[in-house]
Parts: sequence; C-alpha cells; structure tokens
Amino acid sequence: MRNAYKMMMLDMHAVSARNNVVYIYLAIDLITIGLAYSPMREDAFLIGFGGMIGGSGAYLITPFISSAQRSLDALYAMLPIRRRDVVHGHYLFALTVGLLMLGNTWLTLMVIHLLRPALFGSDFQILLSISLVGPYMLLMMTAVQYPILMRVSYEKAPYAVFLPFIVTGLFVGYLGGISSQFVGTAGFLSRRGLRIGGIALAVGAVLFIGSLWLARRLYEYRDL
Amino acid sequence: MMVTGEEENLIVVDGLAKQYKEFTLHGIHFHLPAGYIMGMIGPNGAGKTTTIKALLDMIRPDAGTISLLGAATAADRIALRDSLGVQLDTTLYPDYWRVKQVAKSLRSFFPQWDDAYFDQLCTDMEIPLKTKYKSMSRGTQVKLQLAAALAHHPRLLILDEPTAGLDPLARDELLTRLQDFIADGQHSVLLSTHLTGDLERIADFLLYIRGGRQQFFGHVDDLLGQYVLIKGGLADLTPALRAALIGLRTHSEGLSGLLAVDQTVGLPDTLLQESITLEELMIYFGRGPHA
Repeated sequence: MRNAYKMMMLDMHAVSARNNVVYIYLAIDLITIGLAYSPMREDAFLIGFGGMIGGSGAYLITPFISSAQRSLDALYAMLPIRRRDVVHGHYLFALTVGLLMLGNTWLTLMVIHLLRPALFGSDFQILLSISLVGPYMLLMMTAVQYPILMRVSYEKAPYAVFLPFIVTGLFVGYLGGISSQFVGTAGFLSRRGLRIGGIALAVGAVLFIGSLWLARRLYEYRDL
Repeated sequence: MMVTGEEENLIVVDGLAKQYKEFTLHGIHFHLPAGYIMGMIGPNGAGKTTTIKALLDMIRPDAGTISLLGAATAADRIALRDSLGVQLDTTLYPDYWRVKQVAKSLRSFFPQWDDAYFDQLCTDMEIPLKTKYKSMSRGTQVKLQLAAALAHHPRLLILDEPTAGLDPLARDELLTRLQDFIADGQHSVLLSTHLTGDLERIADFLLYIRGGRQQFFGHVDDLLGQYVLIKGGLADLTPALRAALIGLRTHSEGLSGLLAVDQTVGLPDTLLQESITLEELMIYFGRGPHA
C-alpha cells in the first residue's frame, strides 16, 4: 500500500502543475458561483457539476497521456516496485480524484447555499445527493478505461479509451436519471434512496475491484 | 575464459530469446563480473535495447534465464532495483519536470537516495536547474538521467546509449566517471553504444549483436588479439583464404578482411597483417563471415 501511495503521488507529479486538479476545480467553482448570480440561478450548479465531471474525467487520463508522450512506463520499470503497485497507484489516483471531486462539489453547493439561501430552497438536499453520482460516474469510467490503458496504452489506442468513456457516461447518466425518478423528491438520503444508493454502491464496488484485478493481470503481461 | 569461479557475476544471461512479429532475438548469453565494464555494440535494430529491456523485466523473454545481482526471478530482481542504476535511450520524465521535480519524485522510491550527491552530480555535469526537461538538449536529458541513476548509489549501472548527444568533453567526463565507479572492484557497468572509440577506452568485455544474433562475447583484449586485419593484392586471394576471411572486402587495388590469428600460419609474405581496432572488428564482423 505504501508503494501504491508513492505511485499515486507520482501520477499527481506527472501532471503539469498548470493542469493540477485543484486549480481546475477552483476555476470551475468560481464560474459556478458567478453563474449563481446570473439569470441561470439554480441551474448554475448543474452547469458547474457537468464541468467538474468533464474536468475530472479528462484529468483521470492525463497520467496515461503523459506516459504515452514520455516513457513513464519505462520510468516505473526502473523503480523498486512491482507492476501491481503501479496499477494500484493508478487506481488510488482515480479514487483520490473522485473524493476530491465530491468534496469540491459539496463545498461549492454549500458556498452558494450560504451566499444565496433562497436559490436552491428544498432542492438543496436533493442536489447534495445528486452530487454523489459524479464521483460514481468517474469511478465507473475508471473501471472501464484503466484496464484498456494498462494493456494497450493511450498512445496506441486513444479511441479505445474515449469510446468507453462516452458509453459509461451515457450509461451512468441513464441510471442516475432512472434512479432519481424512482427515488422521487425524497432524495437519495431517504430510506428508499439509501437502499438504491447501497445497491448502486455495491455494484460499483464489485465493478471497480473486478476492473482492478483485470488491470493487474493485463499490466503484468504487457511489454513496456 | 577471463572470469574465474571466485569472481562474482553481477549479470548472467543464458540463452535469452524474444520473438516479435518482425524481429527475433536469438540465444544471447553473456556474464558481467563485479569490477568490470561491458560494452554492447551493434547496428540499429540489432537487439541491444531488447536485451536491456529483458534485463529490466520490461519484456518477458520467450526463453533463457537472467540473473541480476544474484536475483534469478523477476520478483527478486525488482526487490533489488535500489542497487541498480538505469539510463535509457528515451525521454523518460514528464515534459515540465525540472531537476528539483526529478529528485522530489524519485527519492521516496529509493531508500539510499542521496540528495547531496544528486545535487553534486547536477553541478558537476552542468545540468541547468531551472530548465524544463522538454527544453533540455538531448545530451542534458541524458545527463539528468545519469545523475538520477547514480544518486541512489547503485552497484550496477545499465546504460543505453549514454554518450549519445554528449559533446567530446562531456563524453570524456562520463567515461572517467564510469571508470571511477568500478574502481573498487564491487561495481559494474553495462552500456550499449554505437561509439566504439568509447568502448575501446573503457570496456573490459564486449558483446556484439547483429540482426538479433550474438556475434561474439568476450574480453576486449582477447577478442582483438584473436584476429588480424589482412591486406593484399587480389592475386593472393586463394579459395581457402576467401573461405577463411571474415568480412572480405575486394576492390580494384586489392583485398582486406579479418582472419583468425591461428589461421595466419603459412600465409604468403605479400599479404600484410595488421592489428585491429574495435571499430574494424565490428565492421568486418558486421559484413558476415564470408562476405
């Protein structure tokens, strides 16, 4: 786990400081808060939320793009770590980005709610629960993309990376919409909502762990 | 051969083979004892980098065994990577990294990482501290990789084209540094290069690969002592001599080719016999045994 953490930090370092996820989120936050004062009103959050999902999704593949441009896989091969540590590090990176995104989304929501309490009204709780869909979607994208990236690399198959990205986005978006209707106005924090959320979480966890297992096997046998 | 049973081999490769769609590496075998420098030479696409990648477990060989620092399995070799310094013939770090970022990113992985030594190496090699990796010249990028490879005090250095892009002065300094590195008899260097002049100066052992096949491996002095360069007129080219000469070259004024020393007995006096250089050895062997 210690090596996976080091690898995760290396992934963070592999991304240009200018493209650091903290700065990306900060920029989106400011735009979102600014839009909350525009005629967009409560829709400003949804725009910002979309921006965060897009920005986070793009950020997730930056270590692989960087790896394709500069032989980072060769760099990893020089380090005293096993290949599985490299894979664990990448997944830990994705989890970290997902958690950062969730924290940032909630923070933005709360700031807007504090500045303009009347804007969201009773929808505030629903928006808090909808925010959970973002990192969930992100981690599902990771579960599909990362094994492909581990096997063929971004350089060799960029479309093999982007197509699952789009398909997963549509699929999770569809599931999110269906779930919202099913849960109704009570929100995901209601008993019914929590049950549905629990099932989604369990399915997501199984997919994520399965993906991690697959990525480990694929990277283990890859020629670098 | 040159290595006695008492010497510790830091690298032992036996029957290494790897097949790709358009290239095959055939049965490479060599060993590198502690305290020596081994040069790996061969034309582009010969299989030098494939051999290095196999040593670093970047590829899985189809056949053969590799022992690195005494470790015979991939898992054991990975555990010993702190004792291994590597420089590869590729741009290794992200574009925007500077010297400080390289140290920051690598130090946590190597328990023996020495910041003071890394700084000293960067100063000695005149690596600009503020310049981004992508903006460095090819030679400076190689120097930075070398500084990082040495900064954790490895026992074995594996260098792929380390002199590429270096000016003559920097090249000379690097070769001196490598000689110092092995001076205590406990460290070794494996380097691949096109520049036979560099190897002639520092290499103790030589591995020559061409077209994925090992042409020869041995001590440089032994190899150079085993062959002579034959020059003479075309009238001296008997069928027996033609069959024996390695890399035979004929032109309007005569012939030239390598001949094993033990085959020089009875040659006519009209044929000149000259000692050979490493470059000549590589070129004539490159042409094949009966070109």
